[in-house]
Amino acid sequence: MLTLLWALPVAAALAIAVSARRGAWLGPLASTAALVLALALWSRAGSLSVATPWFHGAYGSLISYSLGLSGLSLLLVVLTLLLTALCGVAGLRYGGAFVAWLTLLGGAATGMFLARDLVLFYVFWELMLIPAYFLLVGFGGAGRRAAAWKFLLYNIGGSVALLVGVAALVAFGVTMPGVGVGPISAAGVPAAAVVPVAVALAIGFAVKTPIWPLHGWVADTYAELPAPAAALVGAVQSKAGLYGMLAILIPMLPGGMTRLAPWLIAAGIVSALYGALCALGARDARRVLAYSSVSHLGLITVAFATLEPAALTGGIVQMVAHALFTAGLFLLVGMLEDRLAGPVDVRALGGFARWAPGFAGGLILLGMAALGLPGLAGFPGELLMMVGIYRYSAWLAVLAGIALVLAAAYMLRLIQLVLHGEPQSGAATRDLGGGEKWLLAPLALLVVLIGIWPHPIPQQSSGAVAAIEQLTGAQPAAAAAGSNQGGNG
Amino acid sequence: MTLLLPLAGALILSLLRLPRRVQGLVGAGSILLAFLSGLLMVSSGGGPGPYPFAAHGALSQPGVEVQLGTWLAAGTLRIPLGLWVDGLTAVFVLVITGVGFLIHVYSLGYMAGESDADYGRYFASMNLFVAAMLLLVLADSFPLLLVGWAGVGFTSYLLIGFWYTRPAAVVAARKAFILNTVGDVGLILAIALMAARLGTVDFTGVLGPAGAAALAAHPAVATWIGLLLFVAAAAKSAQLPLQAWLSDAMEGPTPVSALIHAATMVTAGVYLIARTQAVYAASPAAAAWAGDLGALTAFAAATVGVFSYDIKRLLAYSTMSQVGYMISGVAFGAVAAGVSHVVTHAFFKALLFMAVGLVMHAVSDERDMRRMGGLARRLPLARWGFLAGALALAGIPPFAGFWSKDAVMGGLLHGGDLFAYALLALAALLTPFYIFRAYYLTFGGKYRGEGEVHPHASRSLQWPTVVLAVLAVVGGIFAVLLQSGWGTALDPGSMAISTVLALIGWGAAWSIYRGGDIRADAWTAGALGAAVRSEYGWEGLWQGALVRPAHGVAAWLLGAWEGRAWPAAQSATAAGAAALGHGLSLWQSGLVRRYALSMFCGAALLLLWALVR
Repeated sequence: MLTLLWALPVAAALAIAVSARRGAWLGPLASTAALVLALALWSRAGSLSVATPWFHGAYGSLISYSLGLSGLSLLLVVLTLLLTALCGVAGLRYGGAFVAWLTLLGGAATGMFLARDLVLFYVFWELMLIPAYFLLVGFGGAGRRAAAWKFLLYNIGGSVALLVGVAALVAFGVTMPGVGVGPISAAGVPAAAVVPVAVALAIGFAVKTPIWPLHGWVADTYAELPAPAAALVGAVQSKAGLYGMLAILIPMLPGGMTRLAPWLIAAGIVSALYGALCALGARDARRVLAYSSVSHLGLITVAFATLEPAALTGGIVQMVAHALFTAGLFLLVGMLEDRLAGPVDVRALGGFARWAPGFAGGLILLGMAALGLPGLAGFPGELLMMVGIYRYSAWLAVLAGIALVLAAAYMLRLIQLVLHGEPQSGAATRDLGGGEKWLLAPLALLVVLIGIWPHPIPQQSSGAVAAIEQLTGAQPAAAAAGSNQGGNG
Repeated sequence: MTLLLPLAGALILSLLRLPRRVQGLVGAGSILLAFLSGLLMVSSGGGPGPYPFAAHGALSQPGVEVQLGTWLAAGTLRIPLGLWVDGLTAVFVLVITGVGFLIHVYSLGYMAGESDADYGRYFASMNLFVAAMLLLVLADSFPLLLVGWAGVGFTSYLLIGFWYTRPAAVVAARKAFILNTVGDVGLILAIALMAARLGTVDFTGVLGPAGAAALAAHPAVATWIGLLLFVAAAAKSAQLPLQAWLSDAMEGPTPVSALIHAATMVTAGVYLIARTQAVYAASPAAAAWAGDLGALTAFAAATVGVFSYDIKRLLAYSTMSQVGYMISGVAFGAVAAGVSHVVTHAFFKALLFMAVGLVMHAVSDERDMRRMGGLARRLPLARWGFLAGALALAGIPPFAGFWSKDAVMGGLLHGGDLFAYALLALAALLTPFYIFRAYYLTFGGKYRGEGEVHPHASRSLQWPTVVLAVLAVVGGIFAVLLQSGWGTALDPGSMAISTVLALIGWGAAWSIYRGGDIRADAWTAGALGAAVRSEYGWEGLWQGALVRPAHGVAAWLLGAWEGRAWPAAQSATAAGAAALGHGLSLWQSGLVRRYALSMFCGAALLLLWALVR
């Protein structure tokens, strides 16, 4: 059952490839089927697992083909499959090969979110890299070669770091938490190795997310990928690193995580501010969105690293929200690029609201969600993150607050430069077509629904948060001390 | 019900393409129904007891809470989804929907010149605003309040920038949004502090007996919460130091200015501070900061009003000033007085804006009083309406504003903060002066403009103006009832002082401007006038200290770091890798794919080694 979730998209991708790239529609179709299956499992999250021995590794460790569906996994799987289907439909006009790579990417990400074995996790992790690279090289814009080179340089570097960490954990006999996420004994890892292994894992996750200063690949990649691919990579692949923190780094090396936390928090908060400022100055709408992602994901990293329950919950809600509005915004910008037949240079545009009210409505809705307008999906997670971050340190919360104000500034700049002012020459364009509207409608609807009633998301993820809370039981004392300072500071 | 009707109206208007008449009917009708259901809620005891006027101590008693479920939960923190009704809420609900309905009717005529699509967009935004404002005052927890709080900010943004092809409107909209976001972050931090120290963020928990006890035990916590809440209130209510957006917000259509930037949204800060009395009661320091800054705003904005030429901006400064009174009053504990000033101010300030709207329609959207004058005979309704509003604003008894403004000042006189009282007294002197200066320059003397005067007012423009004019004259009764309901007595001594101040201000304006001669206004033209009109150079400070540096840093990061340093580091790494590759193997060919292949192979080998060893 769980296997189908990732195998359906992967099989469809293979089928498209074998059928000489005809039948591209198979991709979104299979993703949708898997999505329906995942939704059918909504109430059974936390109780499903698959485990078959795969092969024996070194030190008597058993590598198994093991999948499990925790609430957190389910959220991310649903998100991935939904976006794979939508981006697949949006990508149909690029041809069969494009849809095949895209669907493979979605299937690999799904597998990764389900994996309950370190080696299996790593296999899916690497499997994501290949389609992303070929989407970039095969279908990217004019600067795709340079962008692909950067993408590979960073991501393979990150993979190697992750591999070292994973191999060490396997060698020390640490296994991945099962579905119920019971307590895991990290006793197998020698004390001296805890921090180096945690660092290796953190680097791997930080590159993928990406977190400053390892973000160098992201702007070019998001700018050069075709819009549907950028939407999927920006929305889903970016969650791999964050998921890795939650599913591997924190539960398997709680001690290492505690030692690493200040560094991750520092890098995360720098990301949040650095990304927001870069987004404020960027010209290309894609780069605005790319830096905006760096900022958002940086803040989520900070939230996770504080290990506060509220911040963890908020970070998970924000992962979901970020995926929805980021995908929607990349798709929207892509639709605008189609009309302009070139990149969206925000400073050379204006007045689109006059000609394309539907487009304007979509951009305002998703942009407002991105800047965290209460009532839309970007807010509940942000609020909980701020609550948790505040408990950790009041000053950190103030810095995060500055990032939120900057988010309003750069998002409004994007919205206003594109939509408002006098219509520029060439702005007379057609509004979103029916197909385009239907493509965006599910995302817009979810963004509004989650904003109004976010509770189902923390309900699904509460298991993961509770498990982490249990593992890092020593943490609340430190947190209380931090909040004391905050209250009196 | 009250809440859902405007929301439904907004949805219908934004998603369906309707004929113009239906758009107007849905827009205004949904607000009327909301008002009626609000009346029903109040009279049928949707709140405990016969609210809003009779119940003594309505603010301290718990209201009726309707819990609908859990909005969000994390760890031990639970945020409910529910509504809260008590006397304070009831007053605001009736003002929002009542004055809101009149302004919607006025808008039917005022916006008649817009295209069908823009007409629908206008009423959709206005309805959404009313819905958000109602959520703000009906929410039962701070996060839900924040949803409404930001919702009104967002719709205000949409409506300030309604004419989005005008650069000034676009800039004004952005400025308003960003300053309001600063306030939102203040509220978020306040919520975070409550969650961290009190463990709860709903009204029952924070403001109820348990919360009050916790706050009293930790005055520092109360002070920080109070200050952070004031940051939010200052942004929304255009108080120092976050006031700079309101005067620019006058770029929006005039009914918008009347509803959002005079009658309702800018009083949200007053609601917040009145609602959180428990916090300010526990922290005199926070109360003093909020109250003194409110009083300072009341005075400073009044001085700018004295020098203004743009009649809408003048009213905006007047709004800042009057909201300063309210904030100062509620912060220093004169809650009934502050809230009753919200009510009367909603009447007379909406009226003043409507009168100005009639004037602007007649003189082709001119806003500069130097090009007006002599309009009394051509625009009798605007003239009498403006006069009624001016008398109420000036605090001349027995008009509406007197009863509430004096109550605030009386409250301060007894509340003991003489600094704030002195500032408010000075503002009370300036208020009649600037508003009658505007009255005489606009309606007295001879017409100084170039274009023709075209008086045209449809019935939808006329009768809301008349209704509000009546309320501006007799609306003081509501203020007095409300104060006596909440147990505040009238103070004859303070009333005498206020009356004298108002008459002196009016007399000064009369002696200078009664002929409506613009030459009498020459003294405002100098360097001093220019400096005051620029809000004492605040805009330059704001731009120089924050906006330009932020953009400068952004450009520097993109240029020096993203453009040069990072790529250089990457090239160095790449060169190192290439050299390594050259040394080690013959694969090196400069093709990215070869690098990729070799790296994949390397990674795979490492993996195998780790597994099999």
